[in-house]
Amino acid sequence: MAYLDNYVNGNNNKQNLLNHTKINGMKILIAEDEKMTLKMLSMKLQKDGYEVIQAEDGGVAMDYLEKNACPDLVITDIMMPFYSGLEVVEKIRKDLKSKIPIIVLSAMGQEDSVEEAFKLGADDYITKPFSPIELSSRVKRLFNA
Amino acid sequence: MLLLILVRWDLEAQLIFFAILFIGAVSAIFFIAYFSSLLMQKKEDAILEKRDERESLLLTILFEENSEKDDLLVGFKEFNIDVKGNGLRKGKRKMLRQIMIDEILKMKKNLSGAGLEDLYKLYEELRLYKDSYKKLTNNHFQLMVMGIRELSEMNHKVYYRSIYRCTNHVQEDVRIEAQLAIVRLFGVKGLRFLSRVTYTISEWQQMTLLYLLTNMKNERPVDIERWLDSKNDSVVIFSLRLADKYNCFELLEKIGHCLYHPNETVKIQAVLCLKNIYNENTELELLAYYQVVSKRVQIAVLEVLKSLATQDSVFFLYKYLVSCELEIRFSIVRILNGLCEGIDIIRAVEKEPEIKESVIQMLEQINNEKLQYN
Repeated sequence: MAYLDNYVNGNNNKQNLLNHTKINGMKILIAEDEKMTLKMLSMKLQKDGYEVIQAEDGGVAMDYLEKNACPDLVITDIMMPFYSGLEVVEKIRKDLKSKIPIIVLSAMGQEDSVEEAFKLGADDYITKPFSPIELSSRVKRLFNA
Repeated sequence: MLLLILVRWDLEAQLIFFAILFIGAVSAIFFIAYFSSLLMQKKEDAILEKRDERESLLLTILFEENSEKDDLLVGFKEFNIDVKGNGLRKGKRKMLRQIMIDEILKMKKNLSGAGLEDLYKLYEELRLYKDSYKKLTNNHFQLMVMGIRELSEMNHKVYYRSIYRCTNHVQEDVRIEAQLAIVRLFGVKGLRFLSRVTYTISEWQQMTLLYLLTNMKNERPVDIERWLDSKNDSVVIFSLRLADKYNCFELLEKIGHCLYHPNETVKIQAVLCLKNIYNENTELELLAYYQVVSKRVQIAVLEVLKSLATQDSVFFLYKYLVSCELEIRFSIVRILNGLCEGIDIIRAVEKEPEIKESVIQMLEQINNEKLQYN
Protein backbone atom coordinates (compact mmCIF):
# COMPACT_ATOMS: atom_id res chain seq x y z
CA MET A 1 0.00 0.00 0.00
CA ALA A 2 1.48 3.35 -0.95
CA TYR A 3 1.15 6.01 1.65
CA LEU A 4 1.40 9.38 0.01
CA ASP A 5 1.25 11.49 3.06
CA ASN A 6 2.30 10.99 6.65
CA TYR A 7 0.39 13.04 9.09
CA VAL A 8 2.25 14.31 12.15
CA ASN A 9 0.32 14.44 15.40
CA GLY A 10 0.90 17.97 16.71
CA ASN A 11 1.18 17.24 20.45
CA ASN A 12 3.01 13.95 20.57
CA ASN A 13 4.98 14.18 17.35
CA LYS A 14 3.76 10.69 16.50
CA GLN A 15 4.42 9.99 12.87
CA ASN A 16 2.66 7.53 10.60
CA LEU A 17 -0.39 7.39 12.82
CA LEU A 18 -2.50 8.71 10.05
CA ASN A 19 -1.93 7.67 6.50
CA HIS A 20 -3.55 9.36 3.58
CA THR A 21 -4.05 7.79 0.17
CA LYS A 22 -5.73 9.58 -2.69
CA ILE A 23 -7.52 7.52 -5.28
CA ASN A 24 -10.39 9.66 -6.50
CA GLY A 25 -12.93 12.23 -5.39
CA MET A 26 -14.85 10.59 -2.52
CA LYS A 27 -12.94 10.78 0.74
CA ILE A 28 -13.53 8.21 3.51
CA LEU A 29 -12.06 8.47 6.99
CA ILE A 30 -11.55 5.08 8.67
CA ALA A 31 -10.89 5.10 12.41
CA GLU A 32 -9.89 1.65 13.64
CA ASP A 33 -7.23 0.68 16.17
CA GLU A 34 -6.80 -2.91 14.98
CA LYS A 35 -4.13 -2.61 12.30
CA MET A 36 -5.16 -5.62 10.23
CA THR A 37 -8.81 -4.54 10.10
CA LEU A 38 -7.76 -1.01 9.18
CA LYS A 39 -5.57 -2.31 6.35
CA MET A 40 -8.27 -4.61 5.02
CA LEU A 41 -10.99 -1.97 5.10
CA SER A 42 -8.70 0.54 3.43
CA MET A 43 -7.59 -1.87 0.74
CA LYS A 44 -11.15 -2.85 -0.13
CA LEU A 45 -12.39 0.73 -0.30
CA GLN A 46 -9.38 1.85 -2.30
CA LYS A 47 -10.07 -0.92 -4.79
CA ASP A 48 -13.61 0.44 -5.04
CA GLY A 49 -12.12 3.79 -6.02
CA TYR A 50 -12.40 5.86 -2.87
CA GLU A 51 -9.79 8.07 -1.27
CA VAL A 52 -9.02 6.63 2.15
CA ILE A 53 -7.72 8.37 5.25
CA GLN A 54 -6.55 5.98 7.95
CA ALA A 55 -6.69 6.88 11.63
CA GLU A 56 -5.17 4.36 14.03
CA ASP A 57 -7.16 5.47 17.07
CA GLY A 58 -9.92 7.81 18.17
CA GLY A 59 -7.46 10.56 19.04
CA VAL A 60 -5.99 10.70 15.55
CA ALA A 61 -9.48 10.67 14.02
CA MET A 62 -10.57 13.59 16.24
CA ASP A 63 -7.39 15.46 15.42
CA TYR A 64 -7.98 14.99 11.70
CA LEU A 65 -11.59 16.14 11.97
CA GLU A 66 -10.55 19.28 13.86
CA LYS A 67 -7.80 20.28 11.48
CA ASN A 68 -9.30 19.31 8.11
CA ALA A 69 -12.50 19.57 6.18
CA CYS A 70 -15.00 16.82 6.87
CA PRO A 71 -14.55 13.72 4.69
CA ASP A 72 -17.46 12.43 2.60
CA LEU A 73 -18.03 9.41 4.85
CA VAL A 74 -16.68 8.16 8.16
CA ILE A 75 -16.25 4.54 9.23
CA THR A 76 -15.37 4.26 12.90
CA ASP A 77 -14.79 1.43 15.30
CA ILE A 78 -16.64 1.75 18.59
CA MET A 79 -13.95 0.60 21.02
CA MET A 80 -10.77 2.64 20.48
CA PRO A 81 -8.08 4.18 22.65
CA PHE A 82 -8.19 7.89 23.61
CA TYR A 83 -11.63 8.54 22.08
CA SER A 84 -14.32 5.98 21.39
CA GLY A 85 -16.25 5.71 18.14
CA LEU A 86 -19.27 7.12 19.96
CA GLU A 87 -17.32 10.27 20.78
CA VAL A 88 -16.24 10.55 17.14
CA VAL A 89 -19.89 10.31 16.04
CA GLU A 90 -20.87 12.89 18.65
CA LYS A 91 -18.17 15.28 17.52
CA ILE A 92 -19.23 15.06 13.87
CA ARG A 93 -22.90 15.58 14.64
CA LYS A 94 -22.78 18.04 17.54
CA ASP A 95 -19.54 20.02 17.27
CA LEU A 96 -18.98 19.99 13.52
CA LYS A 97 -22.73 19.94 12.80
CA SER A 98 -22.04 17.78 9.76
CA LYS A 99 -24.53 15.43 8.15
CA ILE A 100 -22.01 13.19 6.43
CA PRO A 101 -22.84 9.47 6.51
CA ILE A 102 -21.28 7.56 9.42
CA ILE A 103 -20.88 3.79 9.66
CA VAL A 104 -19.90 2.29 13.00
CA LEU A 105 -17.90 -0.91 13.24
CA SER A 106 -18.90 -3.14 16.09
CA ALA A 107 -17.83 -6.51 17.39
CA MET A 108 -20.37 -9.24 18.15
CA GLY A 109 -22.31 -8.48 21.31
CA GLN A 110 -21.91 -4.70 21.18
CA GLU A 111 -25.56 -4.11 20.33
CA ASP A 112 -25.99 -1.56 23.13
CA SER A 113 -23.15 0.55 21.80
CA VAL A 114 -24.54 0.36 18.27
CA GLU A 115 -27.90 1.55 19.56
CA GLU A 116 -26.14 4.41 21.36
CA ALA A 117 -24.30 5.27 18.13
CA PHE A 118 -27.61 5.41 16.23
CA LYS A 119 -29.01 7.73 18.90
CA LEU A 120 -26.01 9.99 18.43
CA GLY A 121 -26.58 10.09 14.67
CA ALA A 122 -24.77 7.14 13.05
CA ASP A 123 -26.36 5.98 9.79
CA ASP A 124 -25.38 2.34 9.57
CA TYR A 125 -23.26 -0.31 11.22
CA ILE A 126 -21.08 -3.24 10.20
CA THR A 127 -20.20 -6.10 12.51
CA LYS A 128 -16.71 -7.59 12.66
CA PRO A 129 -15.78 -9.93 11.10
CA PHE A 130 -17.03 -8.11 8.03
CA SER A 131 -17.86 -9.21 4.52
CA PRO A 132 -15.98 -7.11 1.93
CA ILE A 133 -18.94 -7.24 -0.46
CA GLU A 134 -21.31 -6.07 2.25
CA LEU A 135 -18.94 -3.23 3.14
CA SER A 136 -18.86 -2.02 -0.47
CA SER A 137 -22.61 -2.16 -0.89
CA ARG A 138 -23.28 -0.32 2.37
CA VAL A 139 -20.85 2.44 1.51
CA LYS A 140 -22.35 2.73 -1.98
CA ARG A 141 -25.87 2.81 -0.55
CA LEU A 142 -24.98 5.66 1.81
CA PHE A 143 -23.34 7.65 -0.95
CA ASN A 144 -26.39 7.19 -3.14
CA ALA A 145 -28.87 8.00 -0.38
CA MET B 1 53.40 -26.68 32.93
CA LEU B 2 51.24 -23.62 33.63
CA LEU B 3 50.84 -24.78 37.20
CA LEU B 4 54.61 -25.03 37.65
CA ILE B 5 55.12 -21.50 36.38
CA LEU B 6 52.31 -20.25 38.60
CA VAL B 7 53.84 -21.88 41.69
CA ARG B 8 57.16 -20.18 41.05
CA TRP B 9 55.53 -16.74 40.76
CA ASP B 10 55.08 -14.65 43.88
CA LEU B 11 51.60 -13.93 45.27
CA GLU B 12 51.29 -10.52 43.61
CA ALA B 13 52.01 -11.91 40.14
CA GLN B 14 49.52 -14.71 40.70
CA LEU B 15 46.83 -12.23 41.70
CA ILE B 16 47.46 -10.10 38.59
CA PHE B 17 47.28 -13.23 36.42
CA PHE B 18 43.93 -14.30 37.85
CA ALA B 19 42.55 -10.78 37.60
CA ILE B 20 43.45 -10.65 33.91
CA LEU B 21 41.94 -14.11 33.41
CA PHE B 22 38.72 -13.03 35.13
CA ILE B 23 38.39 -9.80 33.14
CA GLY B 24 39.04 -11.75 29.93
CA ALA B 25 36.32 -14.27 30.74
CA VAL B 26 33.78 -11.58 31.65
CA SER B 27 34.55 -9.65 28.45
CA ALA B 28 34.17 -12.82 26.38
CA ILE B 29 30.79 -13.55 27.93
CA PHE B 30 29.71 -9.96 27.36
CA PHE B 31 30.72 -10.00 23.69
CA ILE B 32 29.09 -13.36 23.06
CA ALA B 33 25.85 -12.13 24.64
CA TYR B 34 25.99 -8.87 22.69
CA PHE B 35 26.58 -10.52 19.33
CA SER B 36 23.96 -13.19 20.00
CA SER B 37 21.38 -10.53 20.75
CA LEU B 38 22.39 -8.70 17.55
CA LEU B 39 21.97 -11.90 15.58
CA MET B 40 18.61 -12.60 17.18
CA GLN B 41 17.43 -9.07 16.47
CA LYS B 42 18.49 -9.47 12.85
CA LYS B 43 16.59 -12.74 12.61
CA GLU B 44 13.49 -11.19 14.17
CA ASP B 45 13.66 -8.26 11.75
CA ALA B 46 13.93 -10.68 8.85
CA ILE B 47 10.87 -12.59 10.08
CA LEU B 48 8.97 -9.34 10.51
CA GLU B 49 9.84 -8.38 6.97
CA LYS B 50 8.62 -11.75 5.69
CA ARG B 51 5.39 -11.31 7.63
CA ASP B 52 4.79 -7.90 6.05
CA GLU B 53 5.50 -9.36 2.61
CA ARG B 54 3.00 -12.17 3.11
CA GLU B 55 0.43 -9.81 4.55
CA SER B 56 0.64 -7.62 1.45
CA LEU B 57 0.50 -10.70 -0.75
CA LEU B 58 -2.65 -11.91 0.99
CA LEU B 59 -4.31 -8.51 0.79
CA THR B 60 -3.53 -8.34 -2.91
CA ILE B 61 -4.85 -11.85 -3.55
CA LEU B 62 -8.03 -11.11 -1.60
CA PHE B 63 -8.86 -7.64 -2.81
CA GLU B 64 -7.28 -7.18 -6.23
CA GLU B 65 -10.11 -8.19 -8.52
CA ASN B 66 -8.04 -8.90 -11.58
CA SER B 67 -5.03 -10.44 -9.86
CA GLU B 68 -3.79 -13.79 -11.10
CA LYS B 69 -2.99 -15.77 -7.98
CA ASP B 70 -0.37 -17.93 -9.66
CA ASP B 71 1.50 -14.91 -11.01
CA LEU B 72 1.53 -13.28 -7.59
CA LEU B 73 2.90 -16.41 -5.95
CA VAL B 74 5.80 -16.84 -8.37
CA GLY B 75 8.37 -15.09 -6.19
CA PHE B 76 7.45 -17.13 -3.12
CA LYS B 77 9.49 -20.31 -3.37
CA GLU B 78 7.89 -22.01 -0.38
CA PHE B 79 4.65 -22.42 -2.32
CA ASN B 80 6.24 -23.98 -5.36
CA ILE B 81 5.26 -27.63 -5.10
CA ASP B 82 6.78 -28.80 -8.37
CA VAL B 83 10.43 -28.37 -7.40
CA LYS B 84 11.70 -30.69 -4.72
CA GLY B 85 12.87 -28.62 -1.75
CA ASN B 86 11.95 -25.50 -3.76
CA GLY B 87 15.52 -24.24 -3.47
CA LEU B 88 14.99 -23.56 0.21
CA ARG B 89 16.36 -25.26 3.29
CA LYS B 90 13.72 -27.43 4.94
CA GLY B 91 13.71 -25.32 8.10
CA LYS B 92 13.36 -22.05 6.22
CA ARG B 93 10.61 -23.40 4.00
CA LYS B 94 8.72 -24.60 7.06
CA MET B 95 9.12 -21.23 8.75
CA LEU B 96 7.93 -19.27 5.71
CA ARG B 97 4.88 -21.50 5.28
CA GLN B 98 4.08 -21.09 8.99
CA ILE B 99 4.25 -17.32 8.58
CA MET B 100 1.67 -17.61 5.80
CA ILE B 101 -0.60 -19.76 7.99
CA ASP B 102 -0.31 -17.22 10.82
CA GLU B 103 -1.20 -14.36 8.49
CA ILE B 104 -4.18 -16.24 7.06
CA LEU B 105 -5.46 -16.98 10.57
CA LYS B 106 -4.97 -13.34 11.56
CA MET B 107 -6.93 -12.16 8.54
CA LYS B 108 -9.64 -14.73 9.10
CA LYS B 109 -10.68 -12.98 12.31
CA ASN B 110 -11.71 -9.93 10.30
CA LEU B 111 -13.49 -11.55 7.39
CA SER B 112 -16.83 -13.16 6.77
CA GLY B 113 -18.79 -14.16 3.69
CA ALA B 114 -17.02 -14.44 0.35
CA GLY B 115 -13.75 -13.05 1.74
CA LEU B 116 -13.60 -15.84 4.28
CA GLU B 117 -14.34 -18.45 1.63
CA ASP B 118 -11.45 -17.08 -0.42
CA LEU B 119 -9.12 -17.53 2.55
CA TYR B 120 -10.27 -21.16 3.00
CA LYS B 121 -9.63 -21.75 -0.70
CA LEU B 122 -6.16 -20.25 -0.53
CA TYR B 123 -5.27 -22.46 2.47
CA GLU B 124 -6.28 -25.48 0.40
CA GLU B 125 -4.57 -24.37 -2.79
CA LEU B 126 -1.27 -23.69 -1.06
CA ARG B 127 -1.60 -27.08 0.68
CA LEU B 128 -0.97 -25.44 4.01
CA TYR B 129 -3.18 -28.10 5.60
CA LYS B 130 -0.29 -30.52 5.12
CA ASP B 131 1.87 -28.40 7.42
CA SER B 132 -0.94 -28.25 9.98
CA TYR B 133 -1.45 -32.01 9.78
CA LYS B 134 2.28 -32.60 10.34
CA LYS B 135 1.99 -30.66 13.56
CA LEU B 136 -1.06 -32.68 14.58
CA THR B 137 0.92 -35.90 14.22
CA ASN B 138 3.90 -34.56 16.17
CA ASN B 139 4.68 -35.77 19.68
CA HIS B 140 5.01 -32.31 21.20
CA PHE B 141 1.63 -31.40 22.57
CA GLN B 142 2.06 -27.67 21.85
CA LEU B 143 2.52 -28.46 18.16
CA MET B 144 -0.44 -30.84 18.20
CA VAL B 145 -2.62 -28.07 19.66
CA MET B 146 -1.41 -25.66 16.96
CA GLY B 147 -2.13 -28.17 14.19
CA ILE B 148 -5.62 -28.96 15.48
CA ARG B 149 -6.45 -25.27 15.83
CA GLU B 150 -5.22 -24.41 12.34
CA LEU B 151 -7.14 -27.23 10.67
CA SER B 152 -10.38 -26.45 12.45
CA GLU B 153 -10.10 -22.67 12.07
CA MET B 154 -9.58 -23.17 8.33
CA ASN B 155 -12.56 -25.53 8.17
CA HIS B 156 -10.45 -28.41 6.82
CA LYS B 157 -12.42 -31.58 7.53
CA VAL B 158 -10.27 -34.22 5.83
CA TYR B 159 -8.29 -35.11 8.96
CA TYR B 160 -11.27 -35.11 11.30
CA ARG B 161 -10.60 -38.69 12.40
CA SER B 162 -7.19 -37.76 13.78
CA ILE B 163 -8.71 -34.77 15.55
CA TYR B 164 -11.56 -36.88 16.90
CA ARG B 165 -9.08 -39.35 18.40
CA CYS B 166 -7.52 -36.46 20.32
CA THR B 167 -10.81 -35.58 22.06
CA ASN B 168 -9.90 -38.07 24.79
CA HIS B 169 -6.14 -37.41 24.68
CA VAL B 170 -4.22 -37.81 27.90
CA GLN B 171 -2.77 -34.29 27.55
CA GLU B 172 -5.38 -31.76 28.67
CA ASP B 173 -4.46 -28.97 26.22
CA VAL B 174 -4.69 -31.34 23.25
CA ARG B 175 -7.99 -32.73 24.50
CA ILE B 176 -9.50 -29.26 24.98
CA GLU B 177 -8.42 -28.05 21.55
CA ALA B 178 -9.62 -31.24 19.83
CA GLN B 179 -13.05 -31.03 21.48
CA LEU B 180 -13.44 -27.41 20.39
CA ALA B 181 -12.16 -28.22 16.92
CA ILE B 182 -14.57 -31.06 16.33
CA VAL B 183 -17.51 -28.87 17.42
CA ARG B 184 -16.20 -26.00 15.29
CA LEU B 185 -16.10 -28.34 12.28
CA PHE B 186 -19.32 -30.31 12.78
CA GLY B 187 -21.51 -28.29 15.19
CA VAL B 188 -23.77 -30.37 17.46
CA LYS B 189 -22.85 -33.52 15.53
CA GLY B 190 -19.31 -33.09 16.80
CA LEU B 191 -20.58 -33.51 20.34
CA ARG B 192 -20.55 -37.27 19.92
CA PHE B 193 -17.13 -37.22 21.60
CA LEU B 194 -19.17 -36.99 24.81
CA SER B 195 -19.94 -40.70 24.43
CA ARG B 196 -16.30 -41.66 24.75
CA VAL B 197 -14.60 -38.97 26.82
CA THR B 198 -13.36 -40.33 30.14
CA TYR B 199 -11.62 -37.21 31.45
CA THR B 200 -13.41 -34.40 33.25
CA ILE B 201 -14.69 -31.59 31.05
CA SER B 202 -13.91 -28.43 33.00
CA GLU B 203 -16.51 -25.73 33.66
CA TRP B 204 -14.56 -23.35 31.43
CA GLN B 205 -14.48 -25.88 28.61
CA GLN B 206 -18.23 -26.47 28.96
CA MET B 207 -18.89 -22.74 28.71
CA THR B 208 -16.64 -22.42 25.67
CA LEU B 209 -18.39 -25.32 23.93
CA LEU B 210 -21.81 -23.84 24.69
CA TYR B 211 -20.64 -20.48 23.35
CA LEU B 212 -19.42 -22.12 20.14
CA LEU B 213 -22.78 -23.86 19.74
CA THR B 214 -24.65 -20.60 20.27
CA ASN B 215 -23.18 -19.22 17.07
CA MET B 216 -24.11 -22.28 15.01
CA LYS B 217 -27.18 -23.64 13.30
CA ASN B 218 -29.85 -24.44 15.80
CA GLU B 219 -29.91 -28.23 15.43
CA ARG B 220 -30.48 -30.31 18.53
CA PRO B 221 -28.02 -32.95 19.71
CA VAL B 222 -29.71 -36.36 19.52
CA ASP B 223 -27.82 -38.26 22.19
CA ILE B 224 -28.41 -36.12 25.28
CA GLU B 225 -30.54 -38.82 26.91
CA ARG B 226 -27.69 -41.31 26.63
CA TRP B 227 -25.12 -38.83 27.91
CA LEU B 228 -27.29 -38.21 30.99
CA ASP B 229 -26.46 -41.81 31.98
CA SER B 230 -22.72 -41.31 31.48
CA LYS B 231 -20.30 -42.52 34.13
CA ASN B 232 -18.37 -39.30 33.64
CA ASP B 233 -20.09 -36.79 35.93
CA SER B 234 -18.85 -33.79 33.93
CA VAL B 235 -20.57 -35.25 30.85
CA VAL B 236 -23.83 -35.53 32.81
CA ILE B 237 -23.49 -31.89 33.94
CA PHE B 238 -22.78 -30.73 30.40
CA SER B 239 -25.70 -32.77 29.05
CA LEU B 240 -28.00 -31.09 31.56
CA ARG B 241 -26.76 -27.74 30.30
CA LEU B 242 -27.41 -28.87 26.73
CA ALA B 243 -30.91 -30.06 27.65
CA ASP B 244 -31.54 -26.65 29.16
CA LYS B 245 -30.10 -24.78 26.16
CA TYR B 246 -32.12 -26.77 23.61
CA ASN B 247 -35.32 -26.85 25.73
CA CYS B 248 -35.54 -30.65 25.78
CA PHE B 249 -38.90 -31.01 27.56
CA GLU B 250 -39.03 -34.70 26.68
CA LEU B 251 -36.10 -35.23 29.04
CA LEU B 252 -37.96 -33.96 32.12
CA GLU B 253 -38.21 -37.43 33.65
CA LYS B 254 -34.55 -38.14 33.06
CA ILE B 255 -33.60 -34.78 34.57
CA GLY B 256 -35.74 -35.77 37.56
CA HIS B 257 -33.58 -38.88 38.00
CA CYS B 258 -30.46 -36.69 38.06
CA LEU B 259 -31.83 -34.98 41.18
CA TYR B 260 -30.85 -38.15 43.04
CA HIS B 261 -27.40 -38.50 41.45
CA PRO B 262 -24.62 -39.19 44.01
CA ASN B 263 -22.63 -36.16 42.82
CA GLU B 264 -23.87 -32.93 44.41
CA THR B 265 -22.86 -30.74 41.45
CA VAL B 266 -24.97 -32.91 39.15
CA LYS B 267 -27.89 -32.49 41.55
CA ILE B 268 -27.48 -28.70 41.49
CA GLN B 269 -27.30 -28.60 37.70
CA ALA B 270 -30.41 -30.82 37.47
CA VAL B 271 -32.29 -28.46 39.79
CA LEU B 272 -31.22 -25.41 37.76
CA CYS B 273 -32.36 -27.17 34.61
CA LEU B 274 -35.89 -27.30 36.03
CA LYS B 275 -36.09 -23.52 35.82
CA ASN B 276 -36.83 -23.86 32.10
CA ILE B 277 -37.94 -27.49 31.78
CA TYR B 278 -40.84 -28.18 34.14
CA ASN B 279 -44.45 -29.29 34.36
CA GLU B 280 -47.33 -28.66 36.78
CA ASN B 281 -45.85 -31.03 39.40
CA THR B 282 -42.33 -29.61 39.44
CA GLU B 283 -43.00 -26.99 42.12
CA LEU B 284 -44.36 -29.46 44.68
CA GLU B 285 -41.67 -32.00 43.85
CA LEU B 286 -39.01 -29.38 44.49
CA LEU B 287 -40.59 -28.47 47.85
CA ALA B 288 -40.42 -32.12 48.91
CA TYR B 289 -36.90 -32.44 47.52
CA TYR B 290 -35.75 -29.36 49.45
CA GLN B 291 -36.17 -31.16 52.76
CA VAL B 292 -33.79 -34.00 51.97
CA VAL B 293 -30.83 -32.20 50.39
CA SER B 294 -27.73 -30.27 51.49
CA LYS B 295 -27.54 -26.49 51.88
CA ARG B 296 -25.88 -25.97 48.47
CA VAL B 297 -28.66 -27.84 46.71
CA GLN B 298 -31.30 -26.06 48.79
CA ILE B 299 -29.98 -22.70 47.56
CA ALA B 300 -30.31 -23.97 43.97
CA VAL B 301 -33.89 -25.10 44.69
CA LEU B 302 -34.75 -21.65 46.03
CA GLU B 303 -33.16 -20.08 42.96
CA VAL B 304 -35.54 -22.10 40.77
CA LEU B 305 -38.51 -21.40 43.02
CA LYS B 306 -37.97 -17.69 42.39
CA SER B 307 -39.48 -18.30 38.97
CA LEU B 308 -41.71 -21.31 39.69
CA ALA B 309 -43.21 -20.62 43.14
CA THR B 310 -46.95 -20.04 43.40
CA GLN B 311 -49.27 -19.68 46.40
CA ASP B 312 -48.79 -23.44 46.97
CA SER B 313 -45.26 -22.71 48.20
CA VAL B 314 -46.14 -19.95 50.68
CA PHE B 315 -46.93 -22.14 53.70
CA PHE B 316 -43.79 -24.19 53.16
CA LEU B 317 -41.59 -21.11 52.77
CA TYR B 318 -42.96 -19.50 55.97
CA LYS B 319 -42.06 -22.71 57.81
CA TYR B 320 -38.41 -22.48 56.72
CA LEU B 321 -38.16 -18.72 57.15
CA VAL B 322 -37.93 -19.07 60.94
CA SER B 323 -35.51 -21.93 61.14
CA CYS B 324 -33.02 -21.40 58.37
CA GLU B 325 -29.63 -19.69 57.91
CA LEU B 326 -29.19 -16.08 56.81
CA GLU B 327 -28.34 -16.85 53.15
CA ILE B 328 -31.29 -19.18 52.76
CA ARG B 329 -33.57 -16.80 54.64
CA PHE B 330 -32.70 -14.01 52.21
CA SER B 331 -33.63 -16.21 49.24
CA ILE B 332 -36.90 -17.19 50.92
CA VAL B 333 -37.77 -13.56 51.70
CA ARG B 334 -37.07 -12.69 48.07
CA ILE B 335 -39.48 -15.40 46.86
CA LEU B 336 -42.14 -14.51 49.43
CA ASN B 337 -41.89 -10.84 48.51
CA GLY B 338 -43.04 -11.77 45.02
CA LEU B 339 -45.96 -13.82 46.36
CA CYS B 340 -47.33 -11.83 49.31
CA GLU B 341 -47.28 -8.44 51.00
CA GLY B 342 -44.17 -7.45 52.92
CA ILE B 343 -46.23 -6.83 56.06
CA ASP B 344 -47.48 -10.45 56.03
CA ILE B 345 -43.89 -11.71 55.91
CA ILE B 346 -42.98 -9.55 58.91
CA ARG B 347 -46.06 -10.77 60.81
CA ALA B 348 -45.03 -14.38 60.21
CA VAL B 349 -41.84 -13.81 62.24
CA GLU B 350 -43.42 -11.53 64.85
CA LYS B 351 -42.52 -13.85 67.71
CA GLU B 352 -38.80 -13.93 66.81
CA PRO B 353 -37.45 -10.37 67.27
CA GLU B 354 -33.99 -11.14 65.84
CA ILE B 355 -35.34 -12.80 62.73
CA LYS B 356 -37.94 -10.06 62.36
CA GLU B 357 -35.20 -7.42 62.35
CA SER B 358 -33.20 -9.24 59.66
CA VAL B 359 -36.34 -9.85 57.55
CA ILE B 360 -37.14 -6.10 57.66
CA GLN B 361 -33.62 -5.27 56.50
CA MET B 362 -33.84 -7.84 53.71
CA LEU B 363 -37.18 -6.47 52.52
CA GLU B 364 -35.70 -2.97 52.46
CA GLN B 365 -32.76 -4.18 50.39
CA ILE B 366 -35.00 -6.03 47.94
CA ASN B 367 -37.21 -2.97 47.50
CA ASN B 368 -34.18 -0.73 47.02
CA GLU B 369 -32.90 -3.12 44.34
CA LYS B 370 -36.28 -2.97 42.62
CA LEU B 371 -36.23 0.83 42.65
CA GLN B 372 -32.68 0.87 41.34
CA TYR B 373 -33.25 -1.52 38.43
CA ASN B 374 -36.72 -0.44 37.34
